Amino acid sequence: MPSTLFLILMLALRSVPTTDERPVALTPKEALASARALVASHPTNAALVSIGKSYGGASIDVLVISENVLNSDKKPSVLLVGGLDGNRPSSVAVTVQAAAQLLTRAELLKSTTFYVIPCANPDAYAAIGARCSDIAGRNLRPIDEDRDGRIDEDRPQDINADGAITMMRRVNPPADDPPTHLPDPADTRLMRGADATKDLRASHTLYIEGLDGDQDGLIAEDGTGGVDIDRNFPHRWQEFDRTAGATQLSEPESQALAQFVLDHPRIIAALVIGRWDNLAKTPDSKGRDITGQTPLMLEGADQPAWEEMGKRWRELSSQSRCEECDPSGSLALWLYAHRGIPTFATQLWGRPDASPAPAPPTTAPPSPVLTPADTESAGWLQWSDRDQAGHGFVAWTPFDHPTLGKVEIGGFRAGFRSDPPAGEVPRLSTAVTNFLSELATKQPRVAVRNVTTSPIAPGVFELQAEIVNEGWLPTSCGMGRINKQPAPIIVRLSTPKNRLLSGQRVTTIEALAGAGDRRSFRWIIRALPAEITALEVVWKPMGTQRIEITNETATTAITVTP
Amino acid sequence: MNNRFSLTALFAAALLSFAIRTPSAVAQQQLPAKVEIAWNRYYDFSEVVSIIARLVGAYPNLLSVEEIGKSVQGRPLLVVTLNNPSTGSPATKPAMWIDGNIHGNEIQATETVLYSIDYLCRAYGSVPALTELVDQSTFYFLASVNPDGRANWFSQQNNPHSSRTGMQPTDDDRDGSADEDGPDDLDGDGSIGQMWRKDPLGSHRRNPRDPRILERVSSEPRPDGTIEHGEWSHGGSEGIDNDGDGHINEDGPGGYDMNRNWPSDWQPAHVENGAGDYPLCFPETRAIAAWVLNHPNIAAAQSYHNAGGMILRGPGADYREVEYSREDRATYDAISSAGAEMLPHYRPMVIFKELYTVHGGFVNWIAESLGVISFTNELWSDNRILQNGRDPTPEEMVRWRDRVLFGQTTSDWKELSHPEYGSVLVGGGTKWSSRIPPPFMLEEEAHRNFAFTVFHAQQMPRLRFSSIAVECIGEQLWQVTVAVANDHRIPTRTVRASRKKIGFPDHLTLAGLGVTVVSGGPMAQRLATTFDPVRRNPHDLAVEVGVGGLSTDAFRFIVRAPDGARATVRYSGEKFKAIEQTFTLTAAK
Repeated sequence: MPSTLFLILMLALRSVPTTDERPVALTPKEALASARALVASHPTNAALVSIGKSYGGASIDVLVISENVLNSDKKPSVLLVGGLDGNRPSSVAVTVQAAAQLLTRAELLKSTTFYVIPCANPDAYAAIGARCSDIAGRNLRPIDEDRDGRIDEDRPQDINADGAITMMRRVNPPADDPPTHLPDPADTRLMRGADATKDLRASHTLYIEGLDGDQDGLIAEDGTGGVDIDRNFPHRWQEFDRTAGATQLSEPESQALAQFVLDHPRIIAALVIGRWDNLAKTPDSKGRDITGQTPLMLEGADQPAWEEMGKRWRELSSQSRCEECDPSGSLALWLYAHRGIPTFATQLWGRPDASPAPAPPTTAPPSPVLTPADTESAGWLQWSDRDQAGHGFVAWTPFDHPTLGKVEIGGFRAGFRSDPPAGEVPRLSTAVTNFLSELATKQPRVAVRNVTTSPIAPGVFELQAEIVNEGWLPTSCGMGRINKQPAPIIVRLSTPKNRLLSGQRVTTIEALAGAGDRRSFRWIIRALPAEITALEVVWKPMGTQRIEITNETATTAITVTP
Repeated sequence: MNNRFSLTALFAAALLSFAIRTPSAVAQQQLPAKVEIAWNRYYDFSEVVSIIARLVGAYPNLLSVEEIGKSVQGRPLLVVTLNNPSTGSPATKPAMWIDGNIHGNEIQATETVLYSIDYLCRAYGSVPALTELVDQSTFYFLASVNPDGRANWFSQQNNPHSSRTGMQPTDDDRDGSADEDGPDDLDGDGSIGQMWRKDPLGSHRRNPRDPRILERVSSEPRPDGTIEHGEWSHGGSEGIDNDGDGHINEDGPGGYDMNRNWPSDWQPAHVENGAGDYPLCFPETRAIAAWVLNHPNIAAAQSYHNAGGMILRGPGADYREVEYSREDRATYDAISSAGAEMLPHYRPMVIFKELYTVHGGFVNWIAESLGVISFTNELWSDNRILQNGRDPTPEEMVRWRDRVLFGQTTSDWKELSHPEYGSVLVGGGTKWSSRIPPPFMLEEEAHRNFAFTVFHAQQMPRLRFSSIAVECIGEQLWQVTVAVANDHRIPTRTVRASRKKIGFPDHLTLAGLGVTVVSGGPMAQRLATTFDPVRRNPHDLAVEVGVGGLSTDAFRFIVRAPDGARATVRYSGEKFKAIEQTFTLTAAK
């Protein structure tokens, strides 16, 4: 067993030179191989289930981690999704390693099943070297982006053969292609927009590296693929954005993911690694969508819990920065807003602090300090320069472009700002495992407490009980109380209606908040001699708890049927 | 089970069914029929399939049918294509999509679709206006979008409003069981009626002249200050508490609305009741959407519903009204106001403004996501009972049911003992009692609505080159001005389609042996003196805005070619028949 774990760690860490010359994480195929190895060595606790195929035909697999895979779907479950965003290939390795680590936590598996999807969007990794970061989340569905009747005929390309698809900049472009940017005076490697008040005038036009393959005057406007799976989900789906799909869930990948979630109603929380982050920074809970009935990102009632979980993630991962991102149409947003599942999203890797600048020679005159327009990019550049031997940024190099003429090619390498160095993978995997473990520990636990009976008159007795949430998370979060998708708690008494003098035979509790929220019940029952009265409390993730009351007083132990 | 509706078997059944066919009314203008179908009666889904098979069998040159998917319970979704192959394949012509019965209980929608197929086939060859329309267009008909809901409505105890849903079991009351507490036919009359509870403080009493009428007692105190009470209070639809949860009829068959399940402005169930788990989550809606997306020649659409006498256009929500441009609204208005004249007791209406808010409706999807001019007609209105412009009073309604319908749509009140309510009255109108025309009025309803869809289809774009002017402007250099006229009201691309870049732009090409197009582009308007040259590919102009309705747009090319060269212009697009014309580049007059 340890040997398998070792193998997986080795696979994840192994260094393979690629176009951007960084150690690469697992490819989907390798992820599948290591997931298979896990299953082979843990036949009782792990299983691999295919839930569908990508547009390009690759299997989408769920790694089920459970105390016993034969009844894994009978327990409250936590979902982990990786491999959604092509700019984050390491998320595949991180999820597989997290699965391996969860397998070592037997105590945790007693209460919780984990569904780990290492690679939700395999097509995004199919041609990773041939893509630039702009189109990294797309599957292989052919899309005619420029509506000229030809498919994928003008792709981004590494035209100067420097091993990376970056950007092109052209100084003093002609009249039909007006300039939009200028080199930032603070660091001329960075490009910035014009600013009339500072008399900073545009001098350059920027393009993705490529040719005008279809000679329509546009550069690299119709590349490989596809629909971005993480923009294809229904909440705030962006219609007419061609990369968001023809309709919501139009893609086999998003269909498979959505159907898996709908088929597994015991999922009580989720962590999605992708382009959105709601842990490094808790999103604003004020905005509502156009109907006014669904939050843009977060419901106000959920904000405190999300802040707390964000704090825990930052402690566990030491990650406190994320890139701004509009999560429209994302899986994470759908899980939360439409399914009511407490869903946490992480980009996994935020901008690290660069080492301090080397002290300037004392004789040099102090140079004026200019503030760059894009401080985030400037920070990445600093970290690349000082801590990554400059390999995050390809220096601008002159090139003779067949249609644009003289240009310079350069810029950040794809994935540099979104994917961690391979050395960070073990640490981040452990952070993910610990976060999942925390979610599992904090899960709602519905309990029946303080069941008492007291006779009122011959043949008539009063039954009292409390239904308590002894976990930390609510049984249905604030969003779930709006969309009513999470299971309610159903309290059912066996007494026939005509002998129930007070109280309801069936009561639905929409939600119990976390940390001890309770609901008290009181029934007055006219019982027949020696009759067994059954009180059942049903909450889908946990199952049915049953208590039998006989002869007005005796209470049998609680039995639980998952 | 899935093979139950095999098409081959149905064709065989249809051939046999001639023996049992019912005598039919002859259509107004005495058109000969190859298939006799009575249009004064309603058809269960299996009969609908048989009618389709008989029609397709009788008019094999014009009709074809394909199963585009199956319902939840395995019934076929049958799209009938009406096309004259000798004038081109279906995809080369503008097409009108006509469907009905997405709500299972709105049954006359289906007969109206079938009537339209039948009438067009009968008329072809003998009615010039319709022959011309059929030769120039394609029609796609889906008679029942919700065959399960229809089959349930016919075969089970229902009321005029029930069985609107599809038949995927749905846990409406979220108790872990699906469809376990539907209505029950307590009095065994085959219908789900109303229940009135005996109540000494009741809100209603039985009308002393006609005890079948339950009328509200006044809530105002009498002059002496005492309060009047009736003997009955309303107890809802006929049924009991099947699952013992204290609620009656709260989880019946299905429990969703397929006309809230389309991609355009789809909203989840907490915003739009019955929307489904996600857009196109039902096999019916998913199959239809895939098929429609695959037929970009659809240039007009009608989706029949009942009831209320409405010609509805989108949007379904107030915040989408801005998405209907002034030009598109003018197109809608021109068609619907003609409809109001053709359909007495019908009114053109905007869904969100005059009906109610709808997110994720089918016509909204067709109009807003596909950029197609589309309507929903709400068939039948109680205004048609007295035909004096207003709905009947309760007394007038009872007289209509007694004297014109001979009591066939009512079930007498019966007093029963109800397990939860004690003594109740059960009865009232049957499922046939409202929302649908009585059979003797069905044919008129079908015909007038069919005629409206013919008018709508006749507005689909039809192009011609209204002029091609050649001028010699130098040695082997020509200026060619091409005017493209659309003689119909619907533009080749609605403003919605061009603004949102839906589908492909139209294209105008100029080509010929030895002909080089050196420049070309659109002219700001027909009589302009200059043009706006495109930067690339001047021989193939992409026309994003298309040609407007009832208008002519001009384009200009600068062409290098020897005197006497032949050139061909071609204007093509997704939603009309492409046109092509060859001309000579010559200075000679």
